Amino acid sequence: MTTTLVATLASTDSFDEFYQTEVDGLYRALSLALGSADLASEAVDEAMTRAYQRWSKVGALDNPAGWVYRVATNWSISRLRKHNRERLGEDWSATKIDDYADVDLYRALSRLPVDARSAVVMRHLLGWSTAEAAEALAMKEGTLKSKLSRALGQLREEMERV
Amino acid sequence: MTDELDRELQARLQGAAERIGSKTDRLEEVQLAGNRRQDRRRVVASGAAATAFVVALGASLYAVASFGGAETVIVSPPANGGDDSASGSAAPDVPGTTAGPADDGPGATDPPASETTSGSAADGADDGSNPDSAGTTGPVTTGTRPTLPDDTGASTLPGGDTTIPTATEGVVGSVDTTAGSDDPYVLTTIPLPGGVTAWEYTYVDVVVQQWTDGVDDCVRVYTPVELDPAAPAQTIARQGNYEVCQQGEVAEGDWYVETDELPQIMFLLYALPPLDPAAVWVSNSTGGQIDGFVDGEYWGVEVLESFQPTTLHILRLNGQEETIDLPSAADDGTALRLYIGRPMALG
Repeated sequence: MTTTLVATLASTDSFDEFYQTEVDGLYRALSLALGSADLASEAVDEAMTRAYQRWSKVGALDNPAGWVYRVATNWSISRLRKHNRERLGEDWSATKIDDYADVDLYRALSRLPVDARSAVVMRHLLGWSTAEAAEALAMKEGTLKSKLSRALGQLREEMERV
Repeated sequence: MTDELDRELQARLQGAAERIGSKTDRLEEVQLAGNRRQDRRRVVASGAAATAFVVALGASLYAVASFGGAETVIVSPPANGGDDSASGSAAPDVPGTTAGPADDGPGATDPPASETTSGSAADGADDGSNPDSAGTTGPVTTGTRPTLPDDTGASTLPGGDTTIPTATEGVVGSVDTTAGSDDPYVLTTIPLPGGVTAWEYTYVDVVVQQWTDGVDDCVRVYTPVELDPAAPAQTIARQGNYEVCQQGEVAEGDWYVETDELPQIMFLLYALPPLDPAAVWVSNSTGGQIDGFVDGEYWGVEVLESFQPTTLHILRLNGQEETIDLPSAADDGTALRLYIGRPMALG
C-alpha cells in the first residue's frame, strides 16, 4: 500500500469519526438557529461535503465543527435569499422548527438575528467556548460575548413575558 | 432569577434539540459528493497548461480566458438550462478582452501586445453537469486588449501575468468594460499595508451574457486556484449579507460571482490575513451599500438588481478607507476583469 493511499485512508477514517461525532449536534443547533430542520439538514450535508473535500485542512483546525457550522450557515443564508428573491423552487418553510413544540422558545429565538441565535446555540447547546464560537462566527471574542449577552437578555425578556 | 433563566434556557434548548432528533446519516453520500467534486476540480485543473478556454454553449456566450498559464477558468451556463445545441462550435471572438500590453510596474514582465490565445474549447455539449471536461476544439479567440490608461501616473495594471510586482505600491482594482467601448478602466493606487512589499495578483477575464430565461442569471467562474476557505472570513466582520448563486451543483465548492439582471461590475479583491484584514463593499450614489463578503467559500462583491454601484470601498484594519469610482453599469456582454489580490510579505 502506498504512503499516499495510507494517508488517504487515515484521513477518511478521521473524517468518518468527525462526521459521526458532530453531525447530530450541528444539525440540531443549526435547526434551532435557522428555524428549519429541513434547511439545516441540507446545509449540514453541504458543509460536510465541503469539509470532506478539504479535510486535510479543515481537520487540522482547532474546531472543525465551527468551520462546518459557518459554511452551513452561509450556505443556508445564500439559499434563503436566493429563494426569497426568485419566489420559486424549494419551500424552505415546509418543516419549520415550530413543528417540534416549545413554540415560545422558537419564537423568542426567531426574533434574534441569525448570528445571535448561533451564538446562543453554540454556547448553550453545543457547549463551545466563547473563543470557539467566536472563531466559528468569524468575529472577535469580545464581539461574540457582547452579542451573546444581548441575545440572552432579549431571550430572558421574551421568556419572562411568556 | 437570571441564573435560573439561563439554566431554564439551556434545559429548553437541549429539550428542543432532543426533540428534533438525529440527522439522517448521509456520510456515504457526503463522501461520494466530495469525491465527485474533487474529480471535477481536477478536471479543471488539468487544463491549466492551456492558456485559454473559451466555452460556447448554445445561444449564450460565455468566454473566459486565462493568462500566464497560471489559471484556467471555465464559465458555464446553468446546469439545468440554456440552449445546449451548440456542438463543437467555438465561441465568437471576444475582441478586446484578452491580454495585451499593460504596464505592470517595475519588475514585471509584460505580455505581448497582441495575444492570441488558444486552447481547448469545451465540446459544446453541455450535459447539465458542467464544467465540460472534454475539450475538443480550438483555437478559440484572438483579442487585443486596449491600452490601459494609467490614471495615477504611479501604478498600473499588472498585465496579463501573475508576476508579483516589486513596486512599493500595488494596483488593486480594475474593471474592464464592454469590448470596444469607451468606458474607462479604473485604476487606482492603494497604499500597501505595513510589512507588505507588493500585491500578488491573479485575475480572470469573463464575458458575460444574461441567461436566456432571464431568471437563471449566474456567472460561474471556475478556477483551479486553491483558496483557503476559512482564512478570508477573518478579514470581514460582516457576514451573512450576501447572496450567491446556487443553481445546480456545478457551483458547489468553487468560487464564483453572481450577476443579476444587469451583469455589470464585479470586483474581486481580498487580502488575506494576517497582513491586511480589510472589508470591501460597494455603494451607490444615494449612499446605498452592499457589503462585501468573504465566507466559507465565496469571495466577491455582489451587485444586486436595481443597485447601480458607483464606488468601491476598501476599509483597512487601521480604519483607513479607500474608495474607487466604478464606471457606470454596462450592458449585457460586459467584459469583466476579476481580481484577487494578496499582499506579499517582506522578505
